[in-house]
Amino acid sequence: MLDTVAVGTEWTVLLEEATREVFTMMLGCEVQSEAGTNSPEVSREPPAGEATRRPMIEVLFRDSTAAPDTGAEVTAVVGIAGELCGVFNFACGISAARMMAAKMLGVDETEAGDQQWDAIGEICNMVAGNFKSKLPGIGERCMLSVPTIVVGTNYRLRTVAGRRRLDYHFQVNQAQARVTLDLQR
Amino acid sequence: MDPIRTLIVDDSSVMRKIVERSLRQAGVNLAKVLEAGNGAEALTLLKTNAVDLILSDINMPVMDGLEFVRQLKRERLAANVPVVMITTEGSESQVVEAVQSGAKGYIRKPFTAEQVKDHVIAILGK
Repeated sequence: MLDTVAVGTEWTVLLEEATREVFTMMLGCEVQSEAGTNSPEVSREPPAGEATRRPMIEVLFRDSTAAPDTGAEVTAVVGIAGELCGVFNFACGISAARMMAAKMLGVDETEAGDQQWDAIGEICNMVAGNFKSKLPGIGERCMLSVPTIVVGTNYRLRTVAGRRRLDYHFQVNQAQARVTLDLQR
Repeated sequence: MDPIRTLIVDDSSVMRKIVERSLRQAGVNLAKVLEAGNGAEALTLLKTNAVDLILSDINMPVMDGLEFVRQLKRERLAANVPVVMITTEGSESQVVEAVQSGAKGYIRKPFTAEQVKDHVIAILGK
């Protein structure tokens, strides 16, 4: 686990590379990093003694009386288990998801239909797999889960505290998106 | 290249379409394209349909790609049809397992149309 695996800042570079390659090869799109939003390695150590046997991920549905979000989001979640244990998230707006699906399929956005959910899941899956393959000696001792998709305007995806987070914020065709890897200790 | 009949097996409908598009972009002459969402569906399709090439994901619900290839070979159902695995799981151990199961090739996602073409040409020898 992470105690024996050095999570270096270069892992953020690998996450960025993994993301770029997926978008270039599968969507034919260039990725632009969002300046100032990357946090190469954010360590969030748990308070001493805090239990870590909580669910890996929780989806919290906000109070419907809360202020509405500016736009619906879609989040794809892929778990990683083995030498590394954690969760990959890929999140973007609904319209961005539709654009990405259209790019992947080589069709107009109007023709993409409901394929956007499947497309976002595949993007997250490919980024996770591509990142994993860039960790020689570690990645091959890990397995990925099938993607799960969360869609809506009134939810917050929360993973268990006490982990390290790799974050990559970027733009594709002026649409914002982010890839996050939360690693459990 | 002669027209080929292809079966694409993936639980993602988007990925099935991408694989087909990549084959067409690469200039592969497709006579027929069948799609299945998992290994069990693929085995059912193969009972009534002849194909020249199978491209299959590994991680799928119901029946994964490795078990699909094993059953394909064991039941002598289209046993001679070459299978290319396409997956995000690109570890060496999985490549070995795929080959031992009977797969002829292995493409790791993300991929380009050229990579797909190279595998198809290498396997079909055309």
